[in-house]
Amino acid sequence: MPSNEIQAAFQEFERERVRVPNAEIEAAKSVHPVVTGFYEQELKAIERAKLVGSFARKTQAAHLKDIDELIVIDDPDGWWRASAGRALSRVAEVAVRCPLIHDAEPRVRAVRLRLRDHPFFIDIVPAIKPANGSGLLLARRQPDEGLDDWTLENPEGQLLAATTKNLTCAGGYVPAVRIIKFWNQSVNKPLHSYHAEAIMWHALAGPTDYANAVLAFFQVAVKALAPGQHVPDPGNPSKCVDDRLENQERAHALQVVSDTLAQVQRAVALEGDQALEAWANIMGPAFPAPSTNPNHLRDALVAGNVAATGAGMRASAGRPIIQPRSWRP
Amino acid sequence: MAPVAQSIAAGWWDYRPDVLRRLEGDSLTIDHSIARLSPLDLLGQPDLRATVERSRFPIEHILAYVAASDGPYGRYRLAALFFGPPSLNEPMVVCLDGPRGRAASEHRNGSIALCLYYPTDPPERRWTLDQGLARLFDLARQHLLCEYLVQIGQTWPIEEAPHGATQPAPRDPARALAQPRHPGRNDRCPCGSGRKAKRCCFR
Repeated sequence: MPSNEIQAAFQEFERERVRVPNAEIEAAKSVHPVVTGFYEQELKAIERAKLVGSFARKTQAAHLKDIDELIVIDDPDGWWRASAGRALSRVAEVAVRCPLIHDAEPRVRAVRLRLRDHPFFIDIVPAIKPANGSGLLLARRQPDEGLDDWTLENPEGQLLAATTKNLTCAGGYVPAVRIIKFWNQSVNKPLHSYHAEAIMWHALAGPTDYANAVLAFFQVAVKALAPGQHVPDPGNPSKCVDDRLENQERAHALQVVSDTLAQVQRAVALEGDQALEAWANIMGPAFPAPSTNPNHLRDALVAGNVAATGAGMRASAGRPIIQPRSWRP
Repeated sequence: MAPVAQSIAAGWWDYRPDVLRRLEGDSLTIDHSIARLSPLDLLGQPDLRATVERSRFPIEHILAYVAASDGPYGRYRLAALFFGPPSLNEPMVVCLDGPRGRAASEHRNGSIALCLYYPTDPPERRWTLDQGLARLFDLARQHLLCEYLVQIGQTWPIEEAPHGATQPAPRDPARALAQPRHPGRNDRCPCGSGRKAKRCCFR
């Protein structure tokens, strides 16, 4: 059973190293309303705008990558519905008039706005209300596959599902998702981000500590990635998040997840410093452990014993660093 | 402010895959965080865009990579930019996150570029092409770790490259490398494009 020490290490890891820095969040909060306001002024047809996606769910890890802004368009004469490609192009054309935007790129379901002064993107997702029923029609433009249509989705449902799950897990779901996404990034993303998030959604049933949350994730992931299995979208259970996952991608993800599950099972069985080191082997050099402690790292640097592992430094075995050059003859 | 052009002319590395192989080697396998950046990626990131624009170097000849640096500071993003073939040109390594300039440390060239070694030191005292990308990024990660230690009130733990006017470190005969003959401006460009150097990578 993981101790308080392990839980404290995970809390420090999530709070200090995994979470998107406040400065980036504040920058995003200052920018996206301006862009939304600009679109509301330029496209008079916007009925409402809402943040969706991982920024709205607060599940991004390490750095802010993109902000998904849903714009629900009033389309009485059917101009927008006639062609998804044309709708996306219209959104992109309007973008060039906004001084905050450097360029706009229509993609499959959204227009990606690159900003002049910020490294994150804003993805404008146009939507129109269906004639009947709930949900929203989102544009889909894939010329290679001959697709230029609107499909019924539930982007707001994903936010509701995450919020509800977080309440069920006493606030532990969202941080656990961030931790898993951080891990996913550090192993070259064997899983698409939302696929990982959906697996965690299905893995957690209630409050638990982080070590057991991570264990539950990998146990469910191994089953979910088996051939023929699919993961329902928490926001729209009639659809699966991995419908377009290629067999080769699935096999690779399963291999990585299976290997990591074995490491996680060993880590959960350990205690004290051994457990911390085991978790650092899984989560990377940003995880608080003796070999990644700043004071130990400093001593190792002075002694010339620091090594590179993964994307960082540890006071343990790893890739040798180029030795510091002496400035004295 | 038109959308970024999608088609970019071939880079020098398309003519010199051997140099690219020496640079990349097994780096992309042993360090999963390393990825090559396209011209669109360079223009889409404000700091990299500003760096490219200041350099006035043709973007199609800038070879760039990004990598992560994980540590007690969290996860920072590093980028290495090669303005021309790395056998002849020092890479510029920048950190896109965290404190900048003097707030990061004294060992910065400007705001985000890392001062990894004294510029005029002999090659055996610096990163070289055959050491590969992963070791270049490892050197940068060590630099960021040293900066972090200074930021939390400790001293720079390893020997520091001096700043200001000073003599470069002496040659180390035990590790001296043969000095390559550098081509002149009117010679064929070493990238293999067939153009004169003054109209190609030396522009």
